[in-house]
Amino acid sequence: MRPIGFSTGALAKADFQSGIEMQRSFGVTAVELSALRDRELMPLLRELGKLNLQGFSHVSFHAPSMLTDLNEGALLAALKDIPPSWPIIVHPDVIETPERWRFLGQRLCVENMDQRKPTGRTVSEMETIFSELPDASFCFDIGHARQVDPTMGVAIGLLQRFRGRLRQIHISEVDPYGKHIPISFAALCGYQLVAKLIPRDCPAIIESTVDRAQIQNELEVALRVLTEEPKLELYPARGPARSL
Amino acid sequence: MSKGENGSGSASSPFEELRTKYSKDWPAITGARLLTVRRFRDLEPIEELSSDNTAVVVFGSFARGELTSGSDIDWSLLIDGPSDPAHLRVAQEVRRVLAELNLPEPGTTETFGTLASSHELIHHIGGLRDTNQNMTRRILLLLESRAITNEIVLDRVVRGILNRYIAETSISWRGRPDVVVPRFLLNDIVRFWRTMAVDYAAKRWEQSDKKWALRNAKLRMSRKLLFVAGLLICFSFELNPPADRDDIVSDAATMPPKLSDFFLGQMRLTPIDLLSQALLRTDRAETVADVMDSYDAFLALLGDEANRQHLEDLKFDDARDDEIFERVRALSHSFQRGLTDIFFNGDDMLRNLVVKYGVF
Repeated sequence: MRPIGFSTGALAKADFQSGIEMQRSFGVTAVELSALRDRELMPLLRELGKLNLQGFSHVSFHAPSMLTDLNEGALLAALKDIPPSWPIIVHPDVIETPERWRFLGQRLCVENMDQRKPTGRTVSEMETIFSELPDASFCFDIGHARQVDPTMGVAIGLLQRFRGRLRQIHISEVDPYGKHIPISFAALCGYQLVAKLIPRDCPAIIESTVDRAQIQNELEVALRVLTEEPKLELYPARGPARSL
Repeated sequence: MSKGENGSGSASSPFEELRTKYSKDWPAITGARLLTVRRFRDLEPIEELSSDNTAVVVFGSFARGELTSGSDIDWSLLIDGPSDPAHLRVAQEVRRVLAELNLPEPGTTETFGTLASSHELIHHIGGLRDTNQNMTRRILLLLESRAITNEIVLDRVVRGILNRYIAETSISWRGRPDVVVPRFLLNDIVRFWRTMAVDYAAKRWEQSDKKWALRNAKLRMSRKLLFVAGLLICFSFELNPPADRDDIVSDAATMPPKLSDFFLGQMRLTPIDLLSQALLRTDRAETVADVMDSYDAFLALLGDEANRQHLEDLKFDDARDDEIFERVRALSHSFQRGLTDIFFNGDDMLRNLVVKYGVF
């Protein structure tokens, strides 16, 4: 059974307590504690021991996606306090000195990026990153991969090449400006093409920015993505297939 | 698509392999590739114009790695996302920077030097809305394009186009196909080549003698090479199957994006590299000489400013007795003989593919 739930940042931005509580009543089993801005990091770390995470079989921690107040060393020192069973999701462009991150081993979970980032977008770019971080695991962001390539060729490549490292997925739609939005029908069609390449027990974190009223619907759409067979009429046949 | 430092996509390109194997220099081709790399560095100021969902893309000799001193620069601002009125300003700024760099403006057809939207390129393939200009932009985007900014946007659009061609072709494949040739794409590449030949005649009619001989020379050599590159790409899944061939064709749902990915990789090679790959397969010294010596001599001829100017000015009625034009004709005959050898005499698999898919 796949653990599934929301990122606290997608539901409540920096208010991680609300982000946890908002989703609890929907029967979710996974949560990602998000500190996307570095000023959000310390308040979240200070409260970690007091958070009620009962009911979540999978918990991950999203490190800041950009360093403005902190430097790399300060961030790494802070990440040491995170419980060892939680994967730490990191954007590759935050990793300035790969060797300093190696002590995290598999807990370091590197995410593929959208088109705005200078690296981590394609198989070859992720290969370069993993060559420097051989023990790191992989967080597959299906929305980022589709923004880079709506035909899903990049997504398939990433999943096939890094299947052995896959620790969790992020799911949402990513708009042309990089914003995480609810999953549209067009995105769903693309995502279903690659869903079977994602192991059934791989945790899924929904990153769509939704309000409380949209949580149930977004959860259902994400589950449809991950459980339904793709619709081949994406490429509609004109009558019976014939050999040309 | 991206081409590597030597304009090839890799440190040791098929062209380099061919050069080594036959102990040839082909100095004009090599020089053109090096000049292309140098001139690309000059284009760095354009990188500052980079914005989300757009790419400044160059075509022609710049993209093929065949730049000579008199080459102009064909470019477009490719837009793959929401339209923004500022895109026109970006295009104007690109034009200004290129003018400052002393790079000649594109031709008069407005196929280049302006905005191009991915929507038409991906969705208007065939049918009444697929204008000559749209088809030209699309096929050149596939066969000879290179991004100055945001390569990821160019690759995204190319994948979108390829996916359309391949998804349409795959409908005719029942289950796992034995032979993978993207016939829809192949037909469009043949159409493009024939259109170029017809348009050459139309331009001679409409524009009288203006640049007639230069266009004729390019049609005989560089345009023909582009067509050859297109054919070789269409046959490449059979000629150079990837290690995961069986995996790619095993699933009807994921086959189009996976095949698009494969063909995108082929399109990262320059036409000269694709041709070199075919020559390495054929492995006939005489054919190699016919094709590569003549193409090298053609680029050397174009690289000579006096010769190029002579061809630009040459009148149709004066061509019969013109020594330089006769040299071009002779080179084109050697080139043609070598190409015929590659496709029909040197390689059984390639010959069978051409006979089955390229004729009827």
